[in-house]
Amino acid sequence: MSMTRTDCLKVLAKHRTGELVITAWQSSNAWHEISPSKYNCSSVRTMGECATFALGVALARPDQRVVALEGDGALCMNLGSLLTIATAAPPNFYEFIMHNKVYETTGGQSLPNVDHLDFLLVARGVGLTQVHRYSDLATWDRELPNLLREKGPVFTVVDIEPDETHVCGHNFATKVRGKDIFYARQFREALANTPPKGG
Amino acid sequence: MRTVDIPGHVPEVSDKLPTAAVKQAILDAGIEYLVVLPETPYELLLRDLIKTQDIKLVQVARESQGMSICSGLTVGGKRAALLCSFKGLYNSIDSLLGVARRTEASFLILVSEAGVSPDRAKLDPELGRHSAKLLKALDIPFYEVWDGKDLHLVKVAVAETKGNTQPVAVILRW
Repeated sequence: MSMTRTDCLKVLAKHRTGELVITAWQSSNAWHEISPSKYNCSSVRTMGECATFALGVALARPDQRVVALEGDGALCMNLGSLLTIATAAPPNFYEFIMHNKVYETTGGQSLPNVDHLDFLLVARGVGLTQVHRYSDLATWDRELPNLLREKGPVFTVVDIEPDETHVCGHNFATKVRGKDIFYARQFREALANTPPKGG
Repeated sequence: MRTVDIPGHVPEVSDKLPTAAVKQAILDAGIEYLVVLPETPYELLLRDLIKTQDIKLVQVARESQGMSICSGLTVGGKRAALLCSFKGLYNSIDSLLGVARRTEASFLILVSEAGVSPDRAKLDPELGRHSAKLLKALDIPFYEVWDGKDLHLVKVAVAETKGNTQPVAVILRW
């Protein structure tokens, strides 16, 4: 059974056990509704930099598992970030790519050379070894708990269907975008008030 | 980060800003994480810092990533700095505005830029001209270090990051 973004995120919320979750763009709106938490941060507004921001958080807080939810178009803008992640290799870092093969916000235009695009090959090619792809909801639901227990960095592509309600960003913009600073402050405060585990 | 000794390669070290003095300024400022790309004038500095236990180096593939990583480190409670070239600053503007500013992360940006001299201007008229104007245009506070006597400004800039909501830059003129 194929997945929508909402399906995918509901499963992630179901199996969430205290992870810090950094989202960008289209995933932010849905994630705040599905899994509201002071440990969510949706303030990154530069395409392709959600995962690198999350990498910084993961390095700063090795006691916490850090999840980055990024779109495939964003990753296309910063493929080199995989190299940086593989080099730093934090064991508490999990990157999930929402792969619908289009730029949803701007109207559903396809990614460049999308029919030949293989993110897993790229990830393996830069030295990431924990690499996964899920295309069906039942498998995603069954395997996610184990995946979140793997030693990172873990790179996962999740195939989702394009969502026409997101086109042109109206849905997204009205609900989340104006709260970037609020969410950033809430996240930082929550982290500051969470003592490092084991120390 | 690893380095390879290249036979015959002589790093272009600035006589105005000795490597040891820059290193000491970074250590004195209490930087815990230095996010870096190789930059010719600081080759010796990086080789030296690799051996230093007091500071953790994070190697990035592009400076814009460094801006985001420093933001995440800062939000996570660490004292971070990005060491990049002036061209690195140019390619980082989106992350500076879209990540550092949006997450209110205040950290140190060390920008390496050529000083303005007629010799260098002949080689490349773009050298040494834009970083300060760019930072000013973006309302990013910055200091300029012209020689070793100014290096105390690194510590001043780091102090200014405390309680701030955006990065503070130091331009290291070589």
